[in-house]
Amino acid sequence: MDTGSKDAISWLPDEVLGNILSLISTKQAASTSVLAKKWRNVFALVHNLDFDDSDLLQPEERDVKWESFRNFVDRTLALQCGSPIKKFSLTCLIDVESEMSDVNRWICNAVERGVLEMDLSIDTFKRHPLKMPRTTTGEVFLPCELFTSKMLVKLTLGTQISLGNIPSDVFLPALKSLFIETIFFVYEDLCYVLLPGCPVLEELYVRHEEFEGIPFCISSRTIKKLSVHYDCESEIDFMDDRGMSFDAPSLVSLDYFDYALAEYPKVNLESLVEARLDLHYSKIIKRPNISGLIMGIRNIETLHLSPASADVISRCVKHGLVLPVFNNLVNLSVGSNNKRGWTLLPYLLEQSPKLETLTIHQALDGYTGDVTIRLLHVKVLLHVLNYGGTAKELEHLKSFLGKSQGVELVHVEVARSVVVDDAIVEQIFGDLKTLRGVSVSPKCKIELEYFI
Amino acid sequence: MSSNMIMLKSSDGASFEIEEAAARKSKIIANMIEVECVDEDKAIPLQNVTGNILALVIEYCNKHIVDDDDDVATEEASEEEEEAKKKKVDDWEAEFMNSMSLETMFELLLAANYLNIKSLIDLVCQTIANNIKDKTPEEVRKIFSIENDFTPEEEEEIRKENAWAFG
Repeated sequence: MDTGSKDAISWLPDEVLGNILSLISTKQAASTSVLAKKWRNVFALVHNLDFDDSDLLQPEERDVKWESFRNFVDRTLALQCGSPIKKFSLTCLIDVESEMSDVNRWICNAVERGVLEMDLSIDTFKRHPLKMPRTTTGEVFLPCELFTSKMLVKLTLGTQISLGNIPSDVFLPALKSLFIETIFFVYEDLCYVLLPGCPVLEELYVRHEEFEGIPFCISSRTIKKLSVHYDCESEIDFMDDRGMSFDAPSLVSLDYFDYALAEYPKVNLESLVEARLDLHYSKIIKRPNISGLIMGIRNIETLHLSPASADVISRCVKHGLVLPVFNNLVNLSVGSNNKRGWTLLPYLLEQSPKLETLTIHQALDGYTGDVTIRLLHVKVLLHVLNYGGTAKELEHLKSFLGKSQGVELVHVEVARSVVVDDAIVEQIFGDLKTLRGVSVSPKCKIELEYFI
Repeated sequence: MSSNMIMLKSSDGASFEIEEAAARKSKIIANMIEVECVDEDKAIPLQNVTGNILALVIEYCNKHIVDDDDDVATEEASEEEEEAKKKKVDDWEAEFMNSMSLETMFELLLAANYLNIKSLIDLVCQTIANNIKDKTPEEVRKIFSIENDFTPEEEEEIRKENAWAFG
């Protein structure tokens, strides 16, 4: 890069320098203070603050470093006086007994200055004589100012902490996006205290990993986009078969990862258009009952099922689950790793009278040839992803299609792992053409997509 | 749709014709158009922008006018199409920024700031920030030709002041 002869950067207007330094971490921004005299306090012009002090160190070392971190944050905030900030991000590991007051002071400072976006990732440890500090579940009482901010638009809270009792007067009138990373909520604070205090919330993301206190009900009148990712098999045992409820009448898009639970007592998702299900089977729940969930999403237009979901739904069908008619389902994307999963497909297609596009996103490896989909009546565009181009896969595809005269287009995407040259493209394309007049109608279009 | 053309005049007297929709990317010009202080046959004088920089600004605006217009249509577009489109714009922007010297970049930033073109300000700021990111102060001084006017003792003092940032 041309270095330019004069020091032009130093003469940019303050607001522009603030813009530039807001794009890097506050630590990096502060390192510009030694560039030259003019730069000494330029870093304080930033409107995004990003403090990260998450290293886990030996006790003595850590205390010195925390002191230094605290001085730095306090000094930076003081230099900024009360100037408005857009984003405040804090990642730290604290001794919850002695250091929470520092954290709360900083949070209050940011809230007072009308922060729009707050990202708190707090880990806690308890001191133990003669031992290394260990991360443990700490109860963290965040200041009530945070829960009554009129400006806050996006809030991220994490991780592996308990928030204690959330103030009952929580009111976040501008909050549009809420991200929750493994937080223990007392009682049903998420569903009945926090969410009702967010009258314009549109996007909710709840992740819970190997930690107690899974929220088992998501209820919001306003959310449009929801992602629930629960990965804590060990906790299922303690859920007393409570299952999971969704009460979100405005929800448009759902992304749900979990173990298939014993029950889905209330599923109100009347506006849902799109769902991505990744449900896993757990030995702890031998007979999951997902009928509440499946009934609740029956009006969707687009459904994406992971191989694990296909397996779990297939198990449930075997034990009496009746699939509803998916009257609006246009796009179905599905994959399977085993025969059980593939067995679900013909039934699912039967229940999807309006289907237009079927995407097979798993290589047909696990496919055993026992299932034939026979897309006779529905006019479907079939997409096959991850195609390896082997003779075996072609046989599988043929057997899989049976005589699917309804298919108008077979679009095959060659797996990225296949090294493509002209000869291979020719061969795969030639192979696929043999499907015409046999598995699909002679007029069916064949498309091949590959990566070079 | 026939589009209105307007004239812009740089500080060194060069005239440029630009579609109104592209010019509207500048909030300053958009405001001038709103309050109708744009005479149809007269060029808008931009005292703080030289011709070579204004040419870059116009190149950027012309490239981005299409994207904004497509907003309605893209609702129907698939995710992949959107991604491909975004990548195309990103590639163009990377190439655009790559083609200029730092000095030009600062002039472009000042022009974007003066004309109030938010997305262009963001693009140039990000490019400059990438040049500061993960660099030592010595490296940053070298890249931007910043002369260190601290004595070693003074510099040490500043390092102590923000000790955590240099840890």
